[in-house]
Amino acid sequence: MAAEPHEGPLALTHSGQGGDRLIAVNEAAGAQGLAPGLLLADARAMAPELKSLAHDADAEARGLERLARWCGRFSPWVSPDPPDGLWLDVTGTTHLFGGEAAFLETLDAALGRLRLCARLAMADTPGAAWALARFGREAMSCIPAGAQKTSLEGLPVAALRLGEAVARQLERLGLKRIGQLYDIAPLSFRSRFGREVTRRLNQALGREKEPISPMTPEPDYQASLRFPEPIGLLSDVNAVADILITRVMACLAAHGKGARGFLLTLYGATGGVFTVEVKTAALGTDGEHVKRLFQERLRVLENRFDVNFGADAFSLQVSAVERLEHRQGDIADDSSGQENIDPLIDRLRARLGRNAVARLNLRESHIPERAAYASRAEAGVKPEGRAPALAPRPLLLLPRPEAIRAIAEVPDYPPHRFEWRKVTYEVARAEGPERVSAEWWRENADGDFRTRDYFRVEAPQGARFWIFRLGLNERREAPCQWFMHGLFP
Amino acid sequence: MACKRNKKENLKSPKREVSALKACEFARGYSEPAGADGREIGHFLTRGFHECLGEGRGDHAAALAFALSCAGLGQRETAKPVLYCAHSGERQETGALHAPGAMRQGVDLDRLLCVRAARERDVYWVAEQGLSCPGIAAIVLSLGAWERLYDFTISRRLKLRAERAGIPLFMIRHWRRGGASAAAARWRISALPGAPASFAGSRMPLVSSPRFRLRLERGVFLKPRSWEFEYDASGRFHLASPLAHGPPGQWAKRHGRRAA
Repeated sequence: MAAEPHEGPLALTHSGQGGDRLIAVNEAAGAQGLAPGLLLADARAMAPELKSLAHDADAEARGLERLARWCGRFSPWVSPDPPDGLWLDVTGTTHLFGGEAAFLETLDAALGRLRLCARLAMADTPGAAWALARFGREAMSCIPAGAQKTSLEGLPVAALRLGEAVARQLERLGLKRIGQLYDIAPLSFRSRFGREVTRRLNQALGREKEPISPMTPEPDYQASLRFPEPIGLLSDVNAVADILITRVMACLAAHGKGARGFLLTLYGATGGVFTVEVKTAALGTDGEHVKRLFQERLRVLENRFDVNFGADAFSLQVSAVERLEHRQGDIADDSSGQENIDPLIDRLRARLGRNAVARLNLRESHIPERAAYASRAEAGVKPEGRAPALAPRPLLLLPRPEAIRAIAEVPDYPPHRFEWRKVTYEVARAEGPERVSAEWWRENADGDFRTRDYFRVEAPQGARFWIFRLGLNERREAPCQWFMHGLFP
Repeated sequence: MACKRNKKENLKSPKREVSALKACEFARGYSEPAGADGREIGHFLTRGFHECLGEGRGDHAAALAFALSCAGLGQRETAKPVLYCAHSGERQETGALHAPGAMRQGVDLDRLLCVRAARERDVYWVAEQGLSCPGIAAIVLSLGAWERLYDFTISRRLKLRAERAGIPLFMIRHWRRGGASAAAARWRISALPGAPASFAGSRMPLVSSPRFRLRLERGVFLKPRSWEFEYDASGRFHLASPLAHGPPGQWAKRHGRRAA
């Protein structure tokens, strides 16, 4: 979006019938008579200094989506219209910018700062706006309410968002202007073109409803703030977040609701959108707590803002809204200790990441790597599953077993001595083997898990280790390898 | 040498000796120490800032087990969870806490919050956050070899916070570390060979119930000295029976005090 414009003639090409064809040209190229659809070879003959680039449809779609997000500052209801358009449903938002004409001026100026030149049109219906933006005489048009019929009269039928074949056929029939279609009975279109023509015409004129699907569902609760000058300082961003949180919380509280998800969006002054998300374990009703979470999160992300030179618009959206259940505390119940760790968990997560806080759970498995897993840490989440009893298990487990050099008697005796991390340990006492095999009843679950023989060994000074041998001597699975896997207290 | 010094001090202050024993009694969970002095000592292990270090290479797990066991002491009456925060670099270096093993050590997994921090600074931050939350029973920090910034200032800060909050804080450090610190006590834990056990036909003696030496390197209330202890099935520690190592006389001679 912020790339420097190319000075000379430039064209985007796409391989088509008979070779590469131009699909878009810049102003300089247009002045030399180049137009989309021309063969690249012909274009080069007309303008030898023409620079051409292959058209990257994916990048273009991504760029369009980024632009659509950036336009969220003008309306919460934005939808990309590939390949080159954007819908904005500005119903009820234009007065914030001083009227419809002023809104278009603001939008044009903002796009101009991004070095984008756009054709803007505002109308009662998406169809009419689409037609005027692409086929209208002026680069910026705003037609008054109910004036679609007269405004569209003189435009070509292609402005009705019809397929190329349909438009060409209509033209062949002599129906070149939209105005000519007004008086023809819909039934006669239907026999030739199906419902397409009638539907598009009705949509453009407002006789048929056409919803714009926004990129993200509009949240029930949100607040936004705009500033004439961009804000870049972290403390200022924090202050803005505080204001927005206070507003949203007041709104939620008024309706007796709470939320678990908060999404702060920063709209960069020079393009770029940055979002910060915070989630709470308990239904968030405490504004101060959410503010602290955002402060932590923003501090962590400080260096990663991709909004250069600051942001000039902010919005806070709330998700996972739930009705607040008012609970009466039990006078004899002393479970408050369990409940009030949720804010702590939120704070830790906001700074260390979502997966940094966990509870340990057991799974019924003899394979050490499978026997434990981490789960959500919120109060009230009860872990399930029990460990298989009896067998000794180390307090500390190495995530990856480390190869050791060991001297042991065949076939299945514990080692006499082994070397781990360049230190040699004698083995004074040993217990084992405990044979752990792949869980054959689980399909493909363990990959290439090979049977291990675990020993608990003790050095003469008292250190206790959990080591295992890979490879079974009695099955002649040579060579045997020894690994260190855990440490006992 | 150390033993001699201990003996001398013990003779000098018999009251201290009694207090130390009471601390251990309290740790056993059998008796609440009586009397003003006893209460003072009884609080020792269940509040304040303690450092736990291994005595040597391979004693890290023993230090962790001791810290978790102490952290579980204050947890017994309440439903509050213990906060365990480890540096994420420790995972492969010293091993990650293994749930079945921890359960065997008497840790209540339902009441254990595990936090992983990627930076040393964050570990101290987690400790301070935990100390400011009244819903936490105890905090165990495990830094291991990733300890770079720790100094007297940080230790004093942690100590003051822990004392103000009334939440015990245990920090497991690398066994080579030491130096000045404001902690209420620095414990050194070493694994000892367990009581001998074998059965007919076994090539090697078996690993029996583990035994540890707990050495108080420095403490605010107690004079430096050491105990031997072992864990019972529920993960509580208690003084090891001296008889297990042979006649009482020999053991007492070796440890420089009369068998209590």
